[in-house]
Amino acid sequence: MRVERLNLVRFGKFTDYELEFPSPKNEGSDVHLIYGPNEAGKSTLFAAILDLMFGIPDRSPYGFMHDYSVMRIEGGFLHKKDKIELARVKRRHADLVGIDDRPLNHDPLIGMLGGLDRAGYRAMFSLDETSLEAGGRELLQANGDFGRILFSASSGLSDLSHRLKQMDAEADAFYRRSGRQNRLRTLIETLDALKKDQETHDVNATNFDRLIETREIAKISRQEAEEEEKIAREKQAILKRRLTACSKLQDYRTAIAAVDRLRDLPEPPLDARTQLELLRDNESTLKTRHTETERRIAAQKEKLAAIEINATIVAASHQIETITDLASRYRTATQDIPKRQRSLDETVAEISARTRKLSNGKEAKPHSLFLEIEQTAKILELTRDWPVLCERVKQAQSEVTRAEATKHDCPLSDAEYARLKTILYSIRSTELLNRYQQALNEERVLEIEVISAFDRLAPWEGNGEDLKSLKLPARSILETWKNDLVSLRLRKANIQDLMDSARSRYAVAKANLDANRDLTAISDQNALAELKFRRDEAWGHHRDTLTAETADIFATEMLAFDEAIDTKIANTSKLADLDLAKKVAAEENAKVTDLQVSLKECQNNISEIITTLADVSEKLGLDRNTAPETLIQWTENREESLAINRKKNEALSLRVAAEREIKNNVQILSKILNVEEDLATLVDVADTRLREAEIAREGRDVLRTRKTLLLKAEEDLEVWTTRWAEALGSSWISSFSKAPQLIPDALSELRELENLIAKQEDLETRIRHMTDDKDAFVAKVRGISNDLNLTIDQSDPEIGYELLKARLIEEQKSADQFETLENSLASEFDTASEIQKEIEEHNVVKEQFLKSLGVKSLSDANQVLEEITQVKKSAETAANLEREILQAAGTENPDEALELLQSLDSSSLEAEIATLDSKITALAEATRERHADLREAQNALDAIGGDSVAAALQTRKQTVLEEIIDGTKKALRLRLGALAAKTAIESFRSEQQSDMLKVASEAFEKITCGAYKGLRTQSGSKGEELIAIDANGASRIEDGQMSAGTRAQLYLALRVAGFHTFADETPPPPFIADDIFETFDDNRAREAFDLLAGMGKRGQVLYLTHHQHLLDIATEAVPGVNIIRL
Amino acid sequence: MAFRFVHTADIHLDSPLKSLALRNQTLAEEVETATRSTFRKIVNLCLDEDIDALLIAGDLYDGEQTSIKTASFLSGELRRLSEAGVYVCIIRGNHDARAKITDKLDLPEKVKNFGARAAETLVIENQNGPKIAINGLSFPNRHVPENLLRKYPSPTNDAVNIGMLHTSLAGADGHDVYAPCSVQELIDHGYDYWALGHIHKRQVHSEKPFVVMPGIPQGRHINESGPKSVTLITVGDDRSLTVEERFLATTAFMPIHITVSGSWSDARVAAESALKNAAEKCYSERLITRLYIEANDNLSWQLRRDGDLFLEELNSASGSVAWIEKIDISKSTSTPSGPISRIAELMRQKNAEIALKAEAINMLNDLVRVLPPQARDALGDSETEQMKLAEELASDGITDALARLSAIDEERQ
Repeated sequence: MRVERLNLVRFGKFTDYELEFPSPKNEGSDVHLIYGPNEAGKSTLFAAILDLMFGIPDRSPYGFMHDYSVMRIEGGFLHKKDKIELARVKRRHADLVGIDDRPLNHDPLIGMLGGLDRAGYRAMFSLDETSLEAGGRELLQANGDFGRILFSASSGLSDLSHRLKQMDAEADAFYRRSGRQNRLRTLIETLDALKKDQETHDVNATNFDRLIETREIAKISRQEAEEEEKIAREKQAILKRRLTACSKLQDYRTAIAAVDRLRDLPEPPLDARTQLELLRDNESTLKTRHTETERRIAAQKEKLAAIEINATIVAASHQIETITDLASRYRTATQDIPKRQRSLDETVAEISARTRKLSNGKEAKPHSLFLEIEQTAKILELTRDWPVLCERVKQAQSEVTRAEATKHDCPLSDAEYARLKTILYSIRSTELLNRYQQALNEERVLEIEVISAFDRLAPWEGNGEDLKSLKLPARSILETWKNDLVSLRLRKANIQDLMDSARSRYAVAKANLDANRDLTAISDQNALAELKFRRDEAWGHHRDTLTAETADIFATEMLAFDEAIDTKIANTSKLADLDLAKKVAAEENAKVTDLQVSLKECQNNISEIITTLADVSEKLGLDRNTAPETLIQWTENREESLAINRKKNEALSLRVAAEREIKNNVQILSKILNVEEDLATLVDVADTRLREAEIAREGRDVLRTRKTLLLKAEEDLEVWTTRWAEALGSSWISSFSKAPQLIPDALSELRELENLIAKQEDLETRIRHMTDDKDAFVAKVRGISNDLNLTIDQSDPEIGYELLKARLIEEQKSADQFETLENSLASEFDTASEIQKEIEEHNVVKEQFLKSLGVKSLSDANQVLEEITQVKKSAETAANLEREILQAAGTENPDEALELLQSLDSSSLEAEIATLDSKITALAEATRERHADLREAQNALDAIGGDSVAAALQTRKQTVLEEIIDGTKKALRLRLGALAAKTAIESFRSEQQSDMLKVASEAFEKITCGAYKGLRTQSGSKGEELIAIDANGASRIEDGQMSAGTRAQLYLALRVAGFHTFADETPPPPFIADDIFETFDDNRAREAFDLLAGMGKRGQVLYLTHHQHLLDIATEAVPGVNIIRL
Repeated sequence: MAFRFVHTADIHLDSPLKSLALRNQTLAEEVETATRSTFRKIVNLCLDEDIDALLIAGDLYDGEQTSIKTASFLSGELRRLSEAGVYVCIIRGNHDARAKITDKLDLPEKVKNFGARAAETLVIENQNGPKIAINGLSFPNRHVPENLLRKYPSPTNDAVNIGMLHTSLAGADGHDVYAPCSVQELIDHGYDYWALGHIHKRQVHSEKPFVVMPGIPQGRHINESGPKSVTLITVGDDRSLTVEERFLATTAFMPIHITVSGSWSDARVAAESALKNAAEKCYSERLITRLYIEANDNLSWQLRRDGDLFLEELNSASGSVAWIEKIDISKSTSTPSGPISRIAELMRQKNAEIALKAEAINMLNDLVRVLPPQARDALGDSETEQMKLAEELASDGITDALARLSAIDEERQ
C-alpha cells in the first residue's frame, strides 16, 4: 500500500495543503524525502498520515486553527492495483468517508494495512525519535518473547492469543473436567429433572397392569363383604318374621271361626252388589218418570179443550198471500194509471203532428210512411255519396278552368323542338366550340414553330411542299457515307503506313544487296553454272587442244570457277543473308505494288463519296464542302420541320372542319329560331326556347289530365242520380229527390215517429194491465168477504182488505196453537207407554235377582250381601295369617307351624334379633370400605386419560439431548480449533523468527558500517535474549555498553527486519520516519538510507527531515529519491 | 355412492420431535405434541369430509412407546371415528409389532386390527357402488426379512381390492429390509390399490394399479423434510380411483440453502426473504428449518464466528412462522487474507490435521463418559462413526478457529 496523494484540507495550521508522492520511475526506490525547516509542519504532516489511516484522536492537538467539526484530511492510496480516494473527518462514528462525503460500507484501509492497528503501526512503521526508542526498548526488554513481540507487532496479530483464550473459555463454559459449574452439567440436571417429571405424569404399561390388579382385588373383597352382610340380614329377617307371627296367632284363630258361617249363606252372583245397586236406582227412576208423564198428559188435555177454531176462516187464510200481492199491485195501479194516460195522450198528439209533417200536411196513416230497412240504408248511403260527388265535379271544373287560364302558346312545333334538342345535344356532347378554339390555338402555335423550324434549314428556302418534295438520300445512307468516309480514310492511312514500312524494308534489303552486289553475282547459280560451263568448255577445249593457251584459258577459267566457289564457301552465311534479302526485297516490292492498287481503289471511293455529298450540299444551297455531320443534322432538321408542318396541317384541317360544322349549325339554328347570331348566342336562345316549349308542353298535358278527371266526375254523378231515383222509388220520400241533403233529417224524423208509435203501444198495454190488476183485487176481496159473510165497505176495497187480513191472521194463530198442543199430547202418550214397558222389564230382572238370593225384597237382598262380604273378609285374613305363620315357621304344614310357634319364646327371639343388628352394622361398614377401595382403584385407572403432558416432556427431553449433543460438538470444535491454531502459530513463529533475526542482524551490521558483526539470540536467565556481536566477536548487550546512536541503529535494524517480514506476507504499509538519524554520523546515515532504499523497493518510505546535509546523502544513496520541500 | 378412504402410515404417535429450535419455549409449547395434533387432524379430516375408512399401514406408534396415555389418546380418537361410523384398518409394522401398549388398547367396534398370523380380508358393502375388500397383515415381529406378499389372498371378485402392507420395498443401502418386495410384484398381485407404509418419504410408485407409499404425515426432524401429507382416495361407483394429497402437518421441516454476499445486514435480508418464502410454501402452520449459507470470504468468516448471533436475530425477526434450528456456514475454500494465511496453511497441513483428529478422538472418549446414555450414540456409536465424527470436528474446528482469528471485530467497522 502506498500513499499517492495527501491533502490536509483542514488540519493543524494547514488549509487545503496538497502533497503528491509520485511512483518511482525506472528502477528507483519509492523513497520520498520531505525537507522543511523547523516549524514548517513536518510533525503535523507526520501526525496527519497517522490520523488519516487510523482516525483523528478524541483530543487531537491539531484542532487549534480549524474546529474539530470541520477537520478533514484526504488521501489517495494505491493498494495492489486498486486506487482508493478517502477522506478522514473528525467524528465519533463513520469518520471515514469517500471523497464525495458518501459514507463507506466498510473500512478499506483495514485490509490494506494487513491487520495492523494504530499502536502496532506506530510501534513498527511510523517512527519518530520517541517511538523508535520506546518501541525498541520494549522489543529488547521483552527478553525471551522478543521474537513473539516483533512478530506480533509486525504481523498485526497481537490479539491472537486473546482470541484463542476466548475460544478455550467458551469451550470450558460448556464442559471442563474439573469445573463445577458448566452448561453440560446444567443440561444433564435438566434432563434428569424432566425424566422424573415425566415419570410422575406418565403411566407405563407395567404400572398400568399393577393398577388393574389392585382394582381386581378390591372388586373381590367388596363382593365377599357384601355376601356376608347379606346372610346376616336374611337370618335376622327370619327371626323378625317369627316374632311377628307369634303375636298374630290369636287373630288367626278368630278368623278361622268366622269362616265357618260361610257354609250357611247362598252363593251370590259375582256382580250381585252391582246388580242390586242398579236395580234400586232403576226402580226409583222409573217410578218418578211414570208419575211425571201422567201429570203432563192431564194438563195438556185441559188446554186443548179450551181452544175453539173456525174452519172456513182457516181455509180462507191460505189466500192471504195472494191478496197481499194483489193489494200492492192495486195500489201501484191506482197511482200510475192517470200518469200513464197523460203520457199516452201526448204521444198520440205528437204522432199525428209528425205524420202530417212528413206527408206534407196530408192526413195519412203513420204506418204508411214507414220504409223498408234496405231502402233506408241505400238512400242513406247515396245521400252520403252525393256531396262528395258534387264536390268532386266542382273541384274538377275549377281545375280545368285554372289550367286553361295558365295555358301557354308553344313557341316551337314538335318537330322543331326535337331538332333543336338533337342539335344542342350534338354541339354540347362534341364540345364543338371548344374543339374549334383548341384547334385554332394549336394552329397558331404550330405556325410559329414551323417558321422557326424552316429558319433552321437556311439557306434553303421554300414552303412545306417544297421541303417534302426535296429528293435527298435517306439519312441512313448519309450515315453510311459518313462512316464509310471515316473508315476509308483510316484504311488509306493504314495502307500508306504499310506501304511506307514495306518500302523501307525493301530499301534496306535493296541497300544490302547493292552493297554486296559482287557476292550477289557469286550467289547467282546461273553465274556459277556459267563459270562451270566456261571451265568445262575451256577444259574441253583444252583437252581437245592441249595448248598452253588453252591451258591458260582453262587455268583462268578453272581459277575463276574455283575462286567463285571459294568466295561462295567463304561467304556462305553472308550469301544466305543475301538470299534472304533478295527474297525480302522481291516480296516487299510485290507488296508495295499490291498496296498501290488498294490505295488507288480507296482514293477513288473517297472521291466518289465526297463528290456525291458535295452534290447534295449544293442542291440544298449549302457549301460543297459541307461536312457530312452537318448534312445529317440538316436532314434531321428537315424531318423535324416536316413533322411540325404536318402537325400544323392537321390542326388546320381540324379547325376547318369545326368551322364548317359551326357554320352548318348556325345556319340550321338561325332558321329554326329565326334569329341571326353567332353559334354561342344561338345556343343560348335555343335553350330559352326549349325551356319555354317545355313549360307550354307541360301545361298542355296538365289541362288534358284535368279534363279527363272532370269527365269522370260528371259520369260518376250521373250514375249516382240514376241509382238515387231507383232508391227513392215512388214513396212519399221521392218528394226529396231534388234535395238529398234533407233526407237524413227526414229519415230521423221518421225514426222518431216509429219510436213514438212504439211508445204509444207500450203505454196502452201497460194501462190495460193495471186496470186488470185493480179489477182482480176488488173481485178477490169481495169474493172472500162473501165467503166469510163479512160486510165490507164496497167503496174502498183497501179498507175491506185490511179488515179481512186482520181477521185471517188471528184465526191462523189459534189454529197453529191447537196443532202444537195436539202434537205434544201425542208424544206424551208415546212416552207413557215406553215407561210402562221399561217397568215390566225391570220387574222381570228384579224377580230373577231376588230369587237367586232367596229373598223377597231388595232391602233383604242388601242385608244378605253385607253378611257374605263380612265372612269373606275374615277368610282372607285367616289365609294371610296362615301364610305368615307358615313362612315364619319355615314349613308348609299349618299344624307343624302352629306347633312350632307355640313353642317359641318372644323375649329370647327379641334378644337374638338385637345381637344380629349390631353384627349387620359392622358388616355394612366393611362393605362400604371395600367399595371405597374399589372406587379408588378405578379412579386411579380412570385418571390416566390421554393427556399429552408426558409426550410433551418426552419432546423436551429430546430437545435437551439435542442441545447436549450440539453443545458438545461445538465445544469440541472450539477446543480443537484453538489447539490447531496454537500449534500453527507456534510453528509459524519459529519459522518467522529466524528469518527476521537474520535480516535484523545484517541490517545492524550494515548501519554500523561493520562495527558490529550482527545479532543473535541466546538463552539467558529470563529466556531467550538478544545479543549484539561487536567486531571483536564480543557480545554486547543492552544498557551502557552501546552509544545512543548505536542503540537507535539497533532499533532501526529491528524495524527494517519487521518491514521485510511483513512484506513477505502482504504489501506493507508506508514506512514513515521523522528525523530518526539525528544521532547517526554521515557514514551510518548513508548506510541507513541505503537500507531505506532497499525498503523502498518493496514498499513506500517517507522520511521527514530538517537537515540540509541529509538531502545530499540521500540523493547519493537512494537512486530516484523524490525530494519534497515544504 | 363413492367410497372414500384416507391412507396414512408411520404416525409414530408421541415420538418426540428432534430439533434444537425447540429450545425456544414458545415454539416448544406449540409443537412438542405435533404427532398428536396431526393425528387428530387426520381424524377430523375423516369426520369433516364423511370419509368411509381410515387405513393406517403400520408404525402407528413406536416400540419404545410404553405410555398408557398414548394408548388412551389413541383409543379416544379411534372411538370418535367409530362412533361416526368410520372404519379404521390397522396393520402393525416394525415399530409397533411388539409394542407393549398394543394389548392395552381399547379398540372400538369399527376398528379392524389385522392379525399377524395370516392375512385377513375385510369386506365393506358399499351402497350402489362396488364392494370394498381390504386385505391386511400385521408384522409378527420387529424384523421380517421375508416377502409377506405371498401370504396375501387373491383379489376378491366383484370388489375393489385394497392391500395394506408395511414394507421397505426393495430397500436402500445401509438400511435393514422389512418385508421386502418389488413394485412389480405388487402390481402383478391384482389388487386395485396398495396402501403401503414404512418409508417416510411419499412416493406414488404406480398409478395402475395404485401403489402408494404415503410418507410420514408429520415430520419429526430436519431429515424428514418437506411438505407432508396423507392420501385421500375416492373409489367411484365405476370402480375408478382418484388419489389426492392432504397436507395436515402442523409443523414442517425444511432445509434452506442460500448464497449471500456483502454485509451482515445483506445476509440478514437475504435469509429473511428466503425464510419467508419457504414458510409460504411449506403447507404447514409453521416451519422449522436449517439454514445452509454459502457466503463470500469475509462474510463467511463473520457468520461462522457469530452464527449464534445471526440465528438469534433471525429467529426473533421471523419467529412464529419460521424457526431456524441451526445455521450451517459453508466452508470457505479460500485462505484468509493477510498474515493469517500462513497460519491457515499450517493448520491445514496434513499431519497437523491427523494429530488433531487423534486429539479429537481422545476428547470424545473423555466426554462420552460424562454424557447421558441417550446422547452417547450421537457422538459415534461405532468406531467408524467415531472416526468420521472426529475428522469432521477437527476440520470444522480449524475452520471455526480461522473464522475467529480472521474475522474483523465489529467495533472496528
